[in-house]
Amino acid sequence: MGVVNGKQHFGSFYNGDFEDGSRDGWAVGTSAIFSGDSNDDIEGSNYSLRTSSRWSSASWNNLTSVSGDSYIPVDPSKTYTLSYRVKGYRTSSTGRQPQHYLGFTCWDSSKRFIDLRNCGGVGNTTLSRALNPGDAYAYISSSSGWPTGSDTTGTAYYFRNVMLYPPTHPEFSAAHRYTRIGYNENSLYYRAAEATGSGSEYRLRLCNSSNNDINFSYSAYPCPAGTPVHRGVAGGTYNYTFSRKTYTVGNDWSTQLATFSGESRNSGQPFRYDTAYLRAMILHNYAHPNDGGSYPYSETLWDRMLFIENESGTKYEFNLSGQ
Amino acid sequence: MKKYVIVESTAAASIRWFMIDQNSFEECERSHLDDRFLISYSGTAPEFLDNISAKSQEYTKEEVIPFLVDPDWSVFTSIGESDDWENEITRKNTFYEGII
Repeated sequence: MGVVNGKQHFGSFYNGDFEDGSRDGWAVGTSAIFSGDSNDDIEGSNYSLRTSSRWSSASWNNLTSVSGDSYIPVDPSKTYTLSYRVKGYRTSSTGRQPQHYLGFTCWDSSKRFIDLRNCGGVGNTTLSRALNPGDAYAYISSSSGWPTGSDTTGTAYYFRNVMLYPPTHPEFSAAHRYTRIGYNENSLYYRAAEATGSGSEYRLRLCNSSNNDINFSYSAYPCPAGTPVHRGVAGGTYNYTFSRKTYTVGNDWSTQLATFSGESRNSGQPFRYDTAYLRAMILHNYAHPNDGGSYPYSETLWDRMLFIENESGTKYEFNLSGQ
Repeated sequence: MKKYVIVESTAAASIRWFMIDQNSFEECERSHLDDRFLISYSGTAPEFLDNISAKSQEYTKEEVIPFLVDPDWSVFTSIGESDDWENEITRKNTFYEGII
């Protein structure tokens, strides 16, 4: 086990220990620097971050390290350790304990957010015929993983993206990993999927998010027969590495720690496909029942936010003595 | 009756806050990528909106809630197409019914 003595700058998160008394890099959401009081059992005499939480609206949205320099470059083939140190500080006025979803968010090489719909893994198949500008239908080799029938609009539109991997595209040609063609770029949905009678081939009627018929209009790179396709399916927005946690007031500080590597379509860990940058994520809404509006809200303390390349899988602990 | 408009965040500096229900960008409902925010007002649309092109049409409360209960706007913690997802949709609908 590695030991880190005292509060020092360590790891990739900017201002990960709030040592300078600011919340720089962690300034979104309802939060403030906390210097401790007579009854808080705070770690030493230095600073931590205090946040409030409720089941809540976007103005109480996720707390992330959002400053311009907060995108942390990652190589998903390497192993990393993510660790947050957390303590419940105060219950809400209704007695509810602090709760959060914790983890990270994934961004591509152009610092674009990687949504689950962009990730292959659901309905992986190929075009059975070329898809050309002006076409009303797309033909796929298999319907496995695709809602089928003459009317598929009973499935919400954000579960019906038709995602394409044009073979000559410089970014999105690797089959069934990461593409923005069909969602984010040239949004494409389908409202019907019917067997053609030719083997396992199905014909998709193309539409927009309002289920109005459209013709294929993407022309930047050709989509010949054999082009990989997946069904874009929305899901957990971020990577909730530590799931939902409750931090009971009165308990000691806890360390949430995960070590991981690799890529997949997921809302937990490891990285999503083609992740090039990571940002911290503390979602301090939605973890509570809908009792928003009861003030004071539950409060949580945060400290020693750590993200570090860790090829050896070493478990790091902070030695708190002598502060 | 209140009216609602979704504005792209790039236009935040053009908002005349004293003419709408919200007092600041931070106070507004915002999409999870912070690229859009919601404003509201009563009566006719304030004139400054005429000079903002990066905005939606005007909506009623019933019309705007589906935009807020959408994975393009709201943070979801459930896995797609699951029962939990439907519950989360319901909770979000209830929440926005009460808050905007």
